Amino acid sequence: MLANYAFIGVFFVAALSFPVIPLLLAFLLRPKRPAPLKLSTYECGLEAIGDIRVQFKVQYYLYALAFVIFDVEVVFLYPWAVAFHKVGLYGFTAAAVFLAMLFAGLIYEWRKGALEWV
Amino acid sequence: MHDVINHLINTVFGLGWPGWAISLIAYLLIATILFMIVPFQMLFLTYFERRAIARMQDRVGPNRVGPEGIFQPVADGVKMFTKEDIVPDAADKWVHLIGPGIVVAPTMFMFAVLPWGPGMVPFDMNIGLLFFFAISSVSAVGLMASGWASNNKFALLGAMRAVAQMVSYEIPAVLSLLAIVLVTGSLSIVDLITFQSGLFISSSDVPGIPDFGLGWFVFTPVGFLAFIAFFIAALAEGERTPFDIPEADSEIVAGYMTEYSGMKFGLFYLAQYVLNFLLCAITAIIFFGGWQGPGVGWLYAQAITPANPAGNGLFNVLAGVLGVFYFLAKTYFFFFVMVWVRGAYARLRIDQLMDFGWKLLIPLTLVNVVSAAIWVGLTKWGAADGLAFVEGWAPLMRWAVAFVITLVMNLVAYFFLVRVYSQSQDERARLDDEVLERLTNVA
Amino acid sequence: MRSDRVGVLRLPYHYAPTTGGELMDLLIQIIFGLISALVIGAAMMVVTMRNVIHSALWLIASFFGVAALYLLMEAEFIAVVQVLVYVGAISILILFAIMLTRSNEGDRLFTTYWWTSGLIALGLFGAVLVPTLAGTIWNLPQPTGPAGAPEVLSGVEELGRGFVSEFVLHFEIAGVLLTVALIGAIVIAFEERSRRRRVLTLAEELELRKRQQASEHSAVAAADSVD
Repeated sequence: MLANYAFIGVFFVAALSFPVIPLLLAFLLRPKRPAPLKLSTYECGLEAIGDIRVQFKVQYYLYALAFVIFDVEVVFLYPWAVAFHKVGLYGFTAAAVFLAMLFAGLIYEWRKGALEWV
Repeated sequence: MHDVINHLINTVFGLGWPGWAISLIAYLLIATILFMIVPFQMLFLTYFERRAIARMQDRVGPNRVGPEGIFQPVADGVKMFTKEDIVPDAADKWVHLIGPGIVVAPTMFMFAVLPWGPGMVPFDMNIGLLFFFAISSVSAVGLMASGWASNNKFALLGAMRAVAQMVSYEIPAVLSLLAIVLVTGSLSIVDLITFQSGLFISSSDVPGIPDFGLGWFVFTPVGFLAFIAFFIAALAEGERTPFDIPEADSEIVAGYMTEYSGMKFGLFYLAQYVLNFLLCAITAIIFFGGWQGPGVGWLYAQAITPANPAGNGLFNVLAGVLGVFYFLAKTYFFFFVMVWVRGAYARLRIDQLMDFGWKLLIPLTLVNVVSAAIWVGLTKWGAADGLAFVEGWAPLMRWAVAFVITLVMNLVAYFFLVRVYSQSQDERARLDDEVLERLTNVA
Repeated sequence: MRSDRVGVLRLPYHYAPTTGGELMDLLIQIIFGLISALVIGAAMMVVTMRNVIHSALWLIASFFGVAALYLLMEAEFIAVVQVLVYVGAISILILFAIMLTRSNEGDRLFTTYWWTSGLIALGLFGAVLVPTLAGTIWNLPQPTGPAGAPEVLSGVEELGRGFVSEFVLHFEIAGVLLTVALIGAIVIAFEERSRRRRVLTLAEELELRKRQQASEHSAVAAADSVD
């Protein structure tokens, strides 16, 4: 049975090597004439000011966190969805409670204003 | 498909080889064929998009290289190969190099589970649908790596925007698919397609419906809402206009691609078009039946299959050709819709983008999941599952009741949520106004 | 976990390769060795890298290797979830968290007594590991299923049925936990709108200037009328 996954393995290696081939080919074909100005950071022709490692705002993190939590909840719901034809009303109720909590979390986040970008 | 190839290899090269060697050759052959087809798809799509968008903008588009400019993508490809590769001094050389690779490789890997025609799937995984979306989310890491490694403000900003947008729209996408998985009860993409036979009504919902290959999910209220939500999310995942904020060229040059040139830039370009192709293809498969269409089911029933080993090989070819034709026609249609949307709409602001995803699409898809559960309950369950009253109804009756109830539910949810959403947007505008008010008084 | 029940594949045609069992086992062992080497090597890189982003990228590579290990154990759903949640979501969270902090590529802070703490850590780790290794029965016999072909079950469906029957309490508690995590995150990281610093958009600046001019104008007009 494990042999069937061999295809995934082979395909994974092939997919990884896919970008390598054009890069190698381009490496052989292209010219290489570096110049200091060419290698400077592009900032619309101006000198770059300051460090680029700026502090990003916390909103990005909040969205990412909400995403992780929703992602995990959806992962919990997928097996339930696959088994749904056989679980009956009890299974529906159990997942409805789960979904209601998901929804409550979303509404809390919304009312609190954590979904505002600015 | 594997055993056909194995059989071919056996008959052509003699039978003495061990099984694993033949399997390995077959796998490599499939991978090679797919990876030959994919760049050609990409070349065609770039040409198609440039010509179509030119038409919409009352221009001609590329028309110099070859008749009607059809060799323009080839010329672009040659340019990519021969262009100098510039890596800025300040960049992190290795991460800068592997960034595009991490973006391209997952898009290629996703082809492992994509069915092209009847019996023509590289690998029918049990959980193919989840596999597809799990792998698609890996690209975000590559975007982040290349944006950071460029050591450029535009690049980092573009990468942050791209990733924030991708993660925000992945939730509505997987939630709208959850509704479809509820209805089919399987995560296999091939099962999903076979489910969609019938004529406007899936023959697995109502047995006895003639099979014209038209029992698509989009004809049900649940499927329709899921389709709209999924396609919008797909536009955002593929960074298409109106969601092209990460590479808004009038604001942040080219986003995470700013410091890339030559073939590395070409890889980003390739990844983007291949991803768009995949998203259109998966939309066509999930909601529009993939290779399903009039005639394919009948042709495939005559072909050599496990269920029918005495079939005629000619019908395999015929069913395959017709199925792939339907599949590609649907896929290109959705790509045309993407181009059309690009021609019609302006770019969103990032706060509008986030609000639309989190405050409208996610609640809507959550309601749709409940609708899907009701749909399954009404069409599939019986007394054993706690729904005794539906037992006596005829299948068509059950289907009709489910259709009406879910339609009403989805419509009510849609109008209610749109009202709440527009109220929240008004509220937002009022708050922005307050900020201005305060600043005016201070100044 | 090489039981017959988990992760049974459904190929479009029933196709079983005619490989010798021993060769197959050897191949699996080699692949297992390679993947575990990748996981451990990547984990080592995570803790030895100076640059925090490089560490994060190696961590992601390590996550991926773990997913491959799951696939090797035929637990396909867990493998895909590993990719979806860890590679696709947690890693993004980590990268965003790094972007939130200021750059801090500091020197390694080694005290002169670093080796004592190393020894203590090693001793504690050994105290856990040695009994576990000694108490494990190696070379378990292969589980033999009931005679005949096993029932085709995909692991996902079993899992789903388990969620709403046997493990329904765990399922709901997981839901509560996730909701609590969401609320907790907002409580800790959220900043009230009024206290947020915000850059005005171009349109807003224009509007502001217009209003300021209007108010100045009206102030001048009011002063005029007083005269």
